[in-house]
Amino acid sequence: MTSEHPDHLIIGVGNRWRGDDGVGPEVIRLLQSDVAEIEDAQVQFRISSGEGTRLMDLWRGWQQVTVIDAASSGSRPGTIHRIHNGCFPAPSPLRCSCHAFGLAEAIQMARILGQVPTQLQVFGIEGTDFRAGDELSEAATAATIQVAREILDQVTSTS
Amino acid sequence: MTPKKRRIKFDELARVEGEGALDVQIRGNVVEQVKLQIFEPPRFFEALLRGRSYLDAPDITARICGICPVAYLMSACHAMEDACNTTVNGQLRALRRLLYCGEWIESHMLHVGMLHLPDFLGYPDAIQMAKDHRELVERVLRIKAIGNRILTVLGGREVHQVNVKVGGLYRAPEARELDALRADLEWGLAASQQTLQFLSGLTFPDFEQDYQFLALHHPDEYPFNEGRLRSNTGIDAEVANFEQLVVETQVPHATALHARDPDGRPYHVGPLARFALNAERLTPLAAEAAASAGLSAPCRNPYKSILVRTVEIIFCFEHALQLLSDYSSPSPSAVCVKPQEPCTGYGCTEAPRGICYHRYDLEGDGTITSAQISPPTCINQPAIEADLYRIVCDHLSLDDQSLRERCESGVRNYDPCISCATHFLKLNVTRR
Repeated sequence: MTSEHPDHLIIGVGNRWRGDDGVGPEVIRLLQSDVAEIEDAQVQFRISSGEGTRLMDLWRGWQQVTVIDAASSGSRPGTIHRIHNGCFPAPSPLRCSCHAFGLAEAIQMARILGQVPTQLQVFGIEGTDFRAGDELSEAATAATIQVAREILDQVTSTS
Repeated sequence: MTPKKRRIKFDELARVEGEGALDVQIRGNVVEQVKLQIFEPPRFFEALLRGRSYLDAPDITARICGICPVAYLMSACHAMEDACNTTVNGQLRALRRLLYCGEWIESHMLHVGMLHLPDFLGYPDAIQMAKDHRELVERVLRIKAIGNRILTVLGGREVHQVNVKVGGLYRAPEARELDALRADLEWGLAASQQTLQFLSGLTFPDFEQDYQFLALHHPDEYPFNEGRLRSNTGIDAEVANFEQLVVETQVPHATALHARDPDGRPYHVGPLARFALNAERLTPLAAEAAASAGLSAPCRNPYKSILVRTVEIIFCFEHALQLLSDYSSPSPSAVCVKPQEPCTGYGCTEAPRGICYHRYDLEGDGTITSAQISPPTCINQPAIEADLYRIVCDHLSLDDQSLRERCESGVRNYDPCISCATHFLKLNVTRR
């Protein structure tokens, strides 16, 4: 695909008022606090609720995109799932509400429409507590720091 | 011999907003019961509002829904302005209509293209449909994105807009900011006309109901924010009379209230109702498109709501372009709205799914003492159940899976927002 944006778009998906669902926005906050280190890296940040069609709008035209989202796969809390281009699992059939058109469905739809960024990576952080509130669990907090560090290393090594 | 009982339980209704179930019980060839079960926990927004400032109501109630927050923002603002005997006019009023254009485009296109259309083309979902109809899905997504863009420019962000306040806006956009939307709106107008042309070639079930349509009616405009309550059964009343005309009751099988007229008849609100009662107020290209699609008011076939929604999308693009042409940035960006004594205010606006009513009682200092909110899906629930009853009666010979698909499609005709009503479909069918 042609690229209107040659740099790196980083999208934090989630709701920071729903416990560990807020890991995506938290990673963005951590990265933005290191702005001095990344100011030459030409990185742009976005926060998203994760609604699939809006995610597709966000990454349209971008070549390099990183998405951070909460995961609930039954793995140990704080587990970091690293998924790269070509390795995204197919979503289950779209049976539920429009709320169920999320990241996995957006990637699947974008793949069919030829709108997947050339370099797309997803960090899924296994959460444990998604109740109302703005605090992350201990395991999720540690994982957000680890993911922010990995992304920071990536963007500063390529800038 | 006792006729065999057949019970079909749908545990998950697909492609609607929120979570619900459907329970169908059939004895022999007699449909004994059809219940749309809504089991999401009630959210008590009305209680949450008590003790808060009248200025907080728009932002709090907007959180009821992530698809149609503008409806809640607008109804709350209008109710507070009504309580304080203030009217918002001129360009601020025009900006509110433009904001609603954004919400209708975004919400309608999501439903038409991603949730409803797969029913007609025989696909389980939009992803499967996109494999065979790539250009169509790309167009749908782009139209929807334009709606989101309008919302962002006016509201500060796509969802739960932060720029709306009682009396107007926190910041009015400059004319150049709106002009930047023009090329997208012109493209969107042509693209939605093209989409309607495609949709008008679909095959629709032969199904009509004698609905009691209820919608806002305005003497000069296709309704968004203002008007009188009007029906095809003789109602013509001020919004303040809503609670006498729409009676809400609790039913055991739903956490959302059911609303009917005082004689127990269901209402039908939303695109078909608006079109039935306001078709002559459509903009010229939208009216022409409706006629070309074979639509005439009233349309009583709920499956054709996919066409009416698309006509309304065309209307929104055409109307938005007109609003842009007439626009000059207002200053100040809001008028002062302040209560002087204890008062009551009423607001009713047209959410994409139909009328959304708010009433607030205020102390003299603006503290909310009571609130009443009636979302459109609460009003449509009895009409949905009546449609489902007839669908089941008409298709008793179908197996449970086929019957389930028919019923789900029947619910989707209404684009119900079950989250708003409390909040998707589980279907239980019992055949005896």
